[in-house]
Amino acid sequence: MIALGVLLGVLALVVALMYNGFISRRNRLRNGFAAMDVQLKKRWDLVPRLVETVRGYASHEQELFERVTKARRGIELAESAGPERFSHEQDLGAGVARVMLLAEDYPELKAGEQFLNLQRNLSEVEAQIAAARRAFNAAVTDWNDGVEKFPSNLLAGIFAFRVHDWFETPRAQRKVTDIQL
Amino acid sequence: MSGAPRQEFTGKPSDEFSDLEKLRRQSLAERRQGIFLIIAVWILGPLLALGAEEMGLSWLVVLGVFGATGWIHKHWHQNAEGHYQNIYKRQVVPALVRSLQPGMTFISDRGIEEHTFSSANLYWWGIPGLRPSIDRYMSEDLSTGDVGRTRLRVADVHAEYEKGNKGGSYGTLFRGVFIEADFHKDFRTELYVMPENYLKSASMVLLSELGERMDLESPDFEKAFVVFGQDPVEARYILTPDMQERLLLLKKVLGNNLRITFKDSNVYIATSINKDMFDPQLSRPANCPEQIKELTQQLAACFHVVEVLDLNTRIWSKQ
Repeated sequence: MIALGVLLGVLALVVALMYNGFISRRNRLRNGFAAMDVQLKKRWDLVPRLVETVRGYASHEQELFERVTKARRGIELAESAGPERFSHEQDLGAGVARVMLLAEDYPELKAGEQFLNLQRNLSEVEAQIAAARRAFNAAVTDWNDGVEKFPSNLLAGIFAFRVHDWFETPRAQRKVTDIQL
Repeated sequence: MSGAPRQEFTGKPSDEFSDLEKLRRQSLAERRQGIFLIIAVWILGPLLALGAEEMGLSWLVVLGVFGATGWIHKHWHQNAEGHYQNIYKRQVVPALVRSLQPGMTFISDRGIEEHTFSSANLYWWGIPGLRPSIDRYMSEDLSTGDVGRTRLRVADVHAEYEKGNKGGSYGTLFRGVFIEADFHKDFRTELYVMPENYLKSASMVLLSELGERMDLESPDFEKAFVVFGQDPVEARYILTPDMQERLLLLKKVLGNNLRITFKDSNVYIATSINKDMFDPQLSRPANCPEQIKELTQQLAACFHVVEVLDLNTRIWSKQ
């Protein structure tokens, strides 16, 4: 009887520790997302200024500007941390990178004080997004390990903890930080 | 790149070398005199001790022999070498530094302040739970100025701790080159990049003071270093995948005992080397090409930090 009691006690302790581990992981995940969200919001704020500045020189690239605007609006309407939001963020990142590359063809635009400021701010925001994304993905990996590995996956099944999506970056977006002043 | 160091000495201090060579020969002669004096003391000492034995004062003679040896060593040996090195470092090394990096200046009798070194929190003296404690500190051979757009300071540092409670006996906490450079990004928290064997030597208390251990993506970087910081996002903002590769390269340039702190938007680098850097040897002619080449390489390796870490690229918000 005592042995059974001890066994149940140990089991309860293991379950409690595992559950608390999940809570800590989930909090890290939420923190990671919140940190990334702040930086994504900064980019979201910068986009209209960028589009307006470049549009004055490259008005024939209307399709690109519309795509960027659509992705920006999509982010506004999407669920906060859902795959749809991540997809729109990726589209926006790729679009911004293309707009920045477009500026390379207009030396007058590139030399302008306003564009230089925008470029610097964007480089900073993209570096911050990249860092926040890596921290967020590290937290996602940690969470997903808990959900998928034995024996914590048993507890994850009981509490309906699901694997989380990573936030990945399309290749085109990586070029933004390579732009030389 | 404007800040890239040149690898060869282009100055022509040949006239200075002839004066230096005279001084070197004079210093060598003084050193030889010192050696002869020491030999004379050690020959005469036992004879005097025999004579003083009857009066029971032989211990005083022995004491005198050791005292005289120490005094001669200090005044003839060390002073002769030190005087030559000081003059050499005033006349030749500044020209080498200017030749490598026109924006840098060499000041042999100045170093990096103790509070700057200790606040980098890179070394501690091994008693679990205690913060780094420096009881004797010496820094000299300062190179200071700008490499391109980056402010840089490099100096020789010897930091020691007092052994036991009696005093007078010191152990080395750190001896080597300490570098302070303006980092190209602004950040608020502190980040420590320590060698991979650091976990074996550091106490849990110290580790907790350094912050949370960060696991980064690069397997090679993870094998070479352990990282501690307070903010996982800022840690990754500083240690981008590119910066991780650059730190691995820096380890190849400056050696395996590399410790790095990112703090107050600066980067502090310590590499322990068990000898005085930037010092000429008395045994080599003043214009010895190998010696000049070695000094140039030592300086160039330190200035090369700016290029290796790409600190002149200022595309972020920090100007």
